[in-house]
Amino acid sequence: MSDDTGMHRNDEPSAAELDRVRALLAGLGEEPAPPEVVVRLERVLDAELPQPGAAPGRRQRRWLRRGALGLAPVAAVAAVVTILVVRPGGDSGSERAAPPPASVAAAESADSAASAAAGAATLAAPAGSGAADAATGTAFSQQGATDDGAARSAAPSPTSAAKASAAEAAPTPAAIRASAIAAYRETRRALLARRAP
Amino acid sequence: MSGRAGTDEDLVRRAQRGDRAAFDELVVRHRDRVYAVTLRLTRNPADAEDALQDTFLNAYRGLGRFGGRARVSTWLYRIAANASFDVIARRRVRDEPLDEGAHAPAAPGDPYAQSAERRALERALAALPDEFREAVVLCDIAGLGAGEAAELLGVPAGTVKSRVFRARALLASALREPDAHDPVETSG
Repeated sequence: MSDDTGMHRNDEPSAAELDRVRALLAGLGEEPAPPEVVVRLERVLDAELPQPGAAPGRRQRRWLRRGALGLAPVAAVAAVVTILVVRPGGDSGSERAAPPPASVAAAESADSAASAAAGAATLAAPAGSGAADAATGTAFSQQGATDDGAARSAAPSPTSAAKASAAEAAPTPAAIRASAIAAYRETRRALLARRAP
Repeated sequence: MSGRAGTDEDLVRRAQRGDRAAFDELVVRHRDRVYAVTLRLTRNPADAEDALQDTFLNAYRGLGRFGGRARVSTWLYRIAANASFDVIARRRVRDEPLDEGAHAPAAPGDPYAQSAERRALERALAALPDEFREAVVLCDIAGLGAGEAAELLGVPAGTVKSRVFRARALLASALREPDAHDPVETSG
């Protein structure tokens, strides 16, 4: 881009003229904006920006959401580990010493998978308020910190009929693992979708 | 700029903590000059108003990124210039000459604003090549330094200085011409 304006040397203004131009330009910046422009600006700002006192809440919700997102992988990994490591041995030490029959173990495995899926569904549900965000974050930390028994207590217990059905289906450890991984992915997808503005 | 409510930097710090009133005070202090800048950059009152609104919305949303390394006014006018360029790009400017009747923001009774010299300046400013007008608006109306304007315009600081000098010279020449002081006055 050329800066050649074609101005001849004898056209060049004096220093006084240049100063005058500078002063005039500075004066343009001092002029008030038209009142109707000001009114519309205020209206737009009132409509678009949070009212006084609203900003901290919004910021707090954002941090809670970030916290929940940060805990999501940890909680999911903890759930998978819990399912894969604790389940085959039973819930308590005494039960571990005497493993239950295969059909009962299968039923409990199905119970655990159902529990994980229910937890994931809870977390994936859209939350429209800060309280919901907080609840989600809490759910994550609880699920990450508790053993499978506590996690199971948070989910609806399957009926005996369902247990029998699950026992007939007899899911394999691979199926349980796949189910847990699917639940984790679903949770993560839902949270990422919520994070998008 | 400072006042009863504190300096611009104080206001920004308060606004960063969620004080909307502080941000509103910042708007009041700068809206006139920001409008003056967007009007001369876009050369269209409707686009200028859009850019003005975008400026303060973007400023509010960008409060967290303002680290205090630049002056608040510099930060704001940079946002204003970018908003103006965005508006120009979005609407592919109609390239109309400045409609003085529509834009004149002068207060009634302001002798300077009513003067023929001012009108002549507006016309000459609108007639400047874009790169000259942008440079002189950013430096002489917005008050940015050559380096700041250069960063915004994506050219070396020396180029900005040269353009500003040339722009002032062209404006001075335009004001010197006998018919510069426009027919509005003589017709009245």
